[in-house]
Amino acid sequence: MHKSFKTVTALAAASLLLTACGASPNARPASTGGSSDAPQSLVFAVVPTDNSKELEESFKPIVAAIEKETGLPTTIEAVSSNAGVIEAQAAERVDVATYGAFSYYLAQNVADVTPIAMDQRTPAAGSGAVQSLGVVAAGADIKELADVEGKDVCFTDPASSTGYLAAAAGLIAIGLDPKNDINPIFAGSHDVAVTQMLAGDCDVAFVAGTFITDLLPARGVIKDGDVDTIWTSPDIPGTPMVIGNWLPEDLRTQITDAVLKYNAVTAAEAGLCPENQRESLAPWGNEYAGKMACQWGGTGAFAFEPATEEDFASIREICETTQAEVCRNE
Amino acid sequence: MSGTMKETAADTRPDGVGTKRRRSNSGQLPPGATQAVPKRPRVSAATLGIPLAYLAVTVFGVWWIDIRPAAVAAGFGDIARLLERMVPPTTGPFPDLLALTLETLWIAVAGTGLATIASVFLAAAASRHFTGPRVVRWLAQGIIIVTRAVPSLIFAILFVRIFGLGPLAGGLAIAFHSIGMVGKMMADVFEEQAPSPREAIASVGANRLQNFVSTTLTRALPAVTSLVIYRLDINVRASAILGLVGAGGIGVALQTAIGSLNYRRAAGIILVIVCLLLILELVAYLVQRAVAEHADEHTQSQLHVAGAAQADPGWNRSRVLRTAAAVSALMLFLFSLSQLSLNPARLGQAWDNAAALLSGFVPPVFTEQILLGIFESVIMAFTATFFGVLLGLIIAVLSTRHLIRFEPLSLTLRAVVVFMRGIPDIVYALIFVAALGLGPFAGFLALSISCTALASKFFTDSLQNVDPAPLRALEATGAGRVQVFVSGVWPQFVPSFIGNSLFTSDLALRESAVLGIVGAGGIGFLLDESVATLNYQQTAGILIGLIVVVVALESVARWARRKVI
Amino acid sequence: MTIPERLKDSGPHPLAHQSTAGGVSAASTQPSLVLRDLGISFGSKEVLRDVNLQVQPGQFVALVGPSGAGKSTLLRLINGSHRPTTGTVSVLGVNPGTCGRRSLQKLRTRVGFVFQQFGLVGRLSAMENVLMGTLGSLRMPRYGISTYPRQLREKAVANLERVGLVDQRFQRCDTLSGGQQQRVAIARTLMQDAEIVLADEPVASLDPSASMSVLNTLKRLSAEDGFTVVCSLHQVDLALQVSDRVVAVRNGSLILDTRTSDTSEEALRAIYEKAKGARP
Repeated sequence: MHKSFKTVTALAAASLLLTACGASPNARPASTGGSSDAPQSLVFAVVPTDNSKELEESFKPIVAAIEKETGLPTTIEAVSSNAGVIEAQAAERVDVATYGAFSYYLAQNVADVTPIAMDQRTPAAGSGAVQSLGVVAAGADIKELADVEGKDVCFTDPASSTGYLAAAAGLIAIGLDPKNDINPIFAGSHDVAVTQMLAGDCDVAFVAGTFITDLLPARGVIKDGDVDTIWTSPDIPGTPMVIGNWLPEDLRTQITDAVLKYNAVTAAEAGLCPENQRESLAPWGNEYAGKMACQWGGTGAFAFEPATEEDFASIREICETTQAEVCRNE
Repeated sequence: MSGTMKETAADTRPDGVGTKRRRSNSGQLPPGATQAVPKRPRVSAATLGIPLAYLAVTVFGVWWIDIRPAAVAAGFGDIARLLERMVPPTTGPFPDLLALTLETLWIAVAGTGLATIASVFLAAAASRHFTGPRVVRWLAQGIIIVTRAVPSLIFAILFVRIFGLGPLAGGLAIAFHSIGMVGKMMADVFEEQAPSPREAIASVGANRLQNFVSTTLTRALPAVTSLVIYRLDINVRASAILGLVGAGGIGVALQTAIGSLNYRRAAGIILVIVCLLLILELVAYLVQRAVAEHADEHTQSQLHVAGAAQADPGWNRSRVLRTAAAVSALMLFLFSLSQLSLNPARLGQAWDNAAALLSGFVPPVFTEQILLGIFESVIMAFTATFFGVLLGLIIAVLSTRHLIRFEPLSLTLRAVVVFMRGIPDIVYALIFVAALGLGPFAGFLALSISCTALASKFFTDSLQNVDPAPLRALEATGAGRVQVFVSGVWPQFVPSFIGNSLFTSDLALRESAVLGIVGAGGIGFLLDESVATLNYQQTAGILIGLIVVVVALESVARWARRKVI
Repeated sequence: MTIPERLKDSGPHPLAHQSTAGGVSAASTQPSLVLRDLGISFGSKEVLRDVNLQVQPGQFVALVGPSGAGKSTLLRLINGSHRPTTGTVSVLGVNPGTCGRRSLQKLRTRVGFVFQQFGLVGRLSAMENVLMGTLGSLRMPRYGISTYPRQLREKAVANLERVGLVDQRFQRCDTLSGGQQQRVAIARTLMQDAEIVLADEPVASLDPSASMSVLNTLKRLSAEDGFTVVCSLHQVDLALQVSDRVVAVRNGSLILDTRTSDTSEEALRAIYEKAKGARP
């Protein structure tokens, strides 16, 4: 008998033993969703948005709040594709989810879902809104949106609201056709759009504002004064939290309450994130200065504020203006 | 089973004049070996140990993933509703789509071609038969492993900094990542060859390069062409990566269509891709027939007709076709290179840009999450490989002519496999998410399907390349088809079966990004996340982790090859 | 040790003049092959010891002895594939055991080697395989028939004619019979204008009539071109029919070295019989 045989056999036996006793860490109750009866557990799905990090970790306090309020065990699923979450919602297998505003616009056509909340970056209402910025290399002769006519323009990708759709709507508003009056280049991501604009591959880049103001400077990719902002879009609604309408009315209310009840600081006080606390952020104001806070959602929000379908109407308007391919649904 | 196999391998040996004896276990002694007392052949640790190890991981994986087949049946209605939204397929304006397809095809051809050229040299240097300096061999092996372990996403973000947005960065990203697979499989082909022609040509005083071209490369040509065409097929399908370098193409269009839930357009694009893959499959089939490695029943035995002078080969239809095909392949490659449009002006600042990007990768950061992600991916990849290999083996056996000689069946199966391959992982993932909800089970099923497609392709190719001479000898003894398969085909097939199974796991590990789509975590998700959030130190940690796993798999594969070949 | 007189040949073949002319004229002064106190061990196993042998140009030497006696190793030592542990090898005045890679390559262009396994590339035509024999004297790699110079191609046809395979010149090698494949391999060594041809059990995987025809071809060509042949054989009867001289190896030592005419089938068979008896 070879030695390796013994090792392998031992391994096989060990895994069999392990299998025989104890439930899989991925085991779940027999039915999640699919019926309108009161479910035994909830599934909370999150999709990375432009500026999210440590996705799963940052939603744990929110899930803790939901578990506390509803008494139901809730699992978090961090998912890399919005289509994955939306299809799971269409099959009523995801109860609560957060994803970009544009994904919600797509989801409402196929899944029976309603927004209940959206993120708030500071204590001010509506502070979760994001903007698309048009940026050029410092000192370029493009000074305003009208100057981009005939230029090479970097966008993120055709299905990004901050990286394309809002800018396209802006161009149409001043009478430029985003397909023919400029030379569009889709760079695939916000950071590449900016770095390649600076490298000279295109004359202007349209990207999510947070990349210009926070992310890229923080990573040392751009320095102060490297880029000039020539255009800022109207506010685009922030990250919605949506819930499945198939859940019983009272459960939906409980979940909504759980999400709205806390902010990052009160959540920390309520012990929703005993292990993972950080200090309050400066933009939250003096009231919270020096206090400890939870990570409250992937965008590092201060809190969630109530939201309704109406809050996301601007996406529909952008889609109606641009008549973009990605907005069309079957 | 393996016991009988070894005996029969020995049995088939003395019969065939011209039998290659390549895969017999205890046959020729390598030069330098002592002609010691012949050992009784015994079942090697590799032939039994590796399948057992797979079984063990699978048993664990089944428990860990919580596989419950009944759940799939329960979700059937949801799958049907999702599929309904995919029909009828639409393509949008067809000329636009065709232009996108061609654009993608050129970049893929250029990338695959460049990778092939680089791989020939690297594989020659990495193969066990390389007689040059050790350092060169280690270097070549290192390059092959690293380019394989590093996903094309990383090459894309690096090359876009160096060469700017556009097809050049895309073509090179494809080329670099392809080297890992093409180089590895080519080296395997070189190593599997019988040594006698190489020794014979060395003994006429030919130098290393001459010997390599006349014996090694010539004999590897059939396997290499089908390998290269298969990599082209992969590169066309993986062309969504071109979106990261601003190059567009059909993969990006498909990704956008799926991302915007426009499934009918996605279905239309998939159909176009499937057509392209079918054409490639047909080309592969024809090339394979024209340059077959073994003389099978329908192999042409006269390679040339007599020409005007006795020493000149004449031109007949097949020689014209062969030459025309080779010339047009070359022209196609050169044309595709011209489509890459290098802008030399950009290269001035390239190194600063690249250095700035790369300095962000140090020092690499390792987290518990990375270890967990690698663990998840490895378990899923192995478990999916186990099922994929079983299914792939069945498909491969049915679509080659060893057991069943019913042409329509094998053609249908081949088309089905191409279709299976043509549908991107994300579509399978969506289908299973609809049925099962988010989680590892849906990811496992999607991964199993891509493993099945991979394995059946590899197995079909190597079953077709089985040396037919011993089989004819066995048939001549009156053995039935099953007997011939068990005694003649299987022993020849075992080394590549084990090698390709390990390689399927290796590829599945990289494809485990599909797990992220269904919320099942895995290393692919972490990698995408770290790149998207510009957390390059973490990216570096993940890459190092991936390289370690790939090196480990490769070592097992090398050990197994030494034991089995 | 007795060194038999060089066999009178029936005059060199016309083709032979092209390059072996020099070799033939030098032949009377210099032996083709000299082995002195040759020994080789692999690890602790001694495979050959104290081998002394001198072969004159144009001789056909049959090397007999049981499997594992060291015949193949001896041929590989002569060819420079192995380096001796003790003693020296001199092939055409060059020591393949100590010379550098370049000189070894150069020596090998003058030494033909015929393998039991033929060493042909099965998917190429006979002609292409034969042309490969010239690679040692060409600089660059070749791909396909038409990349070889016309002169060489004509020579390849002529050599295929000499082994009786001119009609099969464009046939795939793996569709030829075993005997035909071995004759293609012999034609390949003819392309080298080799002064010595080493053959390692060239007929071990052939049927009796094919064996006879292959050996007779080799014998005839050797006589025509005047090259030396050292050929290991198992078939005692064949060895007696084709060779001028028989050398027997057993357990790593030379145990017999005689003119073919001075030995008999019984005597040679006895070597194998004793070997059987000697083994546990």
